[in-house]
Amino acid sequence: MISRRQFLVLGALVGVVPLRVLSKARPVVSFHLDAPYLDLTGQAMPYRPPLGARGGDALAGLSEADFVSLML
Amino acid sequence: MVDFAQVPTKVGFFTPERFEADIHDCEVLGKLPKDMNGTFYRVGADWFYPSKYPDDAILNADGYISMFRFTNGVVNYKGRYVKTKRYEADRAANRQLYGYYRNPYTDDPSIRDPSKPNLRTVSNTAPIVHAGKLFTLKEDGLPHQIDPHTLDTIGPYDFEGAWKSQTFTAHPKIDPVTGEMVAFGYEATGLATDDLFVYTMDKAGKVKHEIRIKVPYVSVVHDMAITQKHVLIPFGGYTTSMERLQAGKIHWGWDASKPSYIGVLARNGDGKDIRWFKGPERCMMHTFNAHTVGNKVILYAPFFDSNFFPFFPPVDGSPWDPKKAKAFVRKITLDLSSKKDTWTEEVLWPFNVQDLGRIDTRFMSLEHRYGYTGFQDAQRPFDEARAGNLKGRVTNCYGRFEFATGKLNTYFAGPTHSLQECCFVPRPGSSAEGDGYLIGVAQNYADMRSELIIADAQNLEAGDIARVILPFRSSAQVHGIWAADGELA
Repeated sequence: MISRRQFLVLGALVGVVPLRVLSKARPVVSFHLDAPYLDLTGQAMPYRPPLGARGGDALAGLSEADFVSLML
Repeated sequence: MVDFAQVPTKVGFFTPERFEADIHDCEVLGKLPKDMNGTFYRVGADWFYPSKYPDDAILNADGYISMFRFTNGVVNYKGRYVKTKRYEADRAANRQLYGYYRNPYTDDPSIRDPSKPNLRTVSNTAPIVHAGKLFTLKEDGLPHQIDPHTLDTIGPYDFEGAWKSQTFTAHPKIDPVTGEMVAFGYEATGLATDDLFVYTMDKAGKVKHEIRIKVPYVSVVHDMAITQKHVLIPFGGYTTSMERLQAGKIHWGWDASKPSYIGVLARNGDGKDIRWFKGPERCMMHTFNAHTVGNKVILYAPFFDSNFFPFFPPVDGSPWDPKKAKAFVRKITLDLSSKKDTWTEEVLWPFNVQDLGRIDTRFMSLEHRYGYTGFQDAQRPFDEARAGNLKGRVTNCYGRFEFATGKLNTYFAGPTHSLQECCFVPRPGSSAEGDGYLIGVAQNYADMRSELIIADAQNLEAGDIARVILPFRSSAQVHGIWAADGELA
């Protein structure tokens, strides 16, 4: 089962990120001057939020089935 | 349906706020100073609808004004979107209609109008109080007048028709001696135009003087400085053109081959006396202050070595370089008696700082001792387990920088915090420079909330006197101001 995060990444790759960028690197969310930014080169140090629901990371890692089961 | 998943930077702590708030009698840790009565106004950017493009600038998000009002030991909080024409159009359409930052050619056809780019403003950069009125500002449009008590948007303001530029800077300066406000607008006559208009408003808010000049090339002209005699216009590096905009690109690109400039002109002249001093590659965003001594103009500013915005990419296709996106506290001397068109520059501290420099504004345009801004002290602890992998990547300290001596006093916010721009609050009844409080909002990544910090500006090492706790994380402030009771109508 594809995870929510994988789904979002694939969606971004298909519909949002320009092909010229895909041909070079995969964008990465990094951090600069107290805010996240999208590094199109893929070379920047990724931003990893803290573990736990407040960081958003736990939900992002769930599969669609896991997520729906939590919501029910 | 609103879905921020298409904007990968809007996750977790950084998910947009999207609500308006009123909190009566906020939670306070510590003890509020009894003599602190007034309002801390903050303006920032908060996407109500997701941006059309995932790599758009946060500078393009909706304007949001908030205030902490201090009254006899009680703090009330209020937050409201700035109800711009653009915000209202998006709300009516239930979606984002507007494209890239300052590029109307990327807008939805239903609202697209490149002939009136200032109608796209989100008014999201700074508040200002002058002549009893409160405004929100952004450099691509007119000020928006705001009710200082309800934060309701009254609407765009053109100084009773006397302000002729299509735009108005986010950083006007108020002369504490005369009460005048000096401001400018660039791209004053439309997209990518080289017109810059400078205005002086008297202490009653009436336009009393206008100067029209041309800039050497069209660029971001974000901030200014004034002395008792002069107006300073610094800029450099960013470029644009109609061709670029019509090609659907974000408004600015960075051209490292372009020189930086500082224009110096007489405050009460006609602009014909302007001297453009030229310097090396610099990203000149914010200033601390300036003053004139004889034939020399001294400017203190935390300018960057190079492009600090990752979303305004280099025009040559090279990747944005974070190593050069560093600001240093600089003393710049412009010699009006010299025939050379360059300046001398001295870096006063060897480490980089947050470029949001502030002063005790009672000394604006005058010789002064102190500047205040945030910086990152990598030696301080950071709890990555609770706050993410941001050690060495957040502003965790405020500093009082004494320009003449090099002395630095430091306040540390905590191991899960990053600090937004600070603001100096004069102590009532005191006239000595630096006697007052240093305040600013900290983002607490671990506890998913924002905290207003209040410290004694003359004793920063002692830590904060009090913290006002918000039970949520507020969207990031760009700039804020303190308005003492009695300043507003």
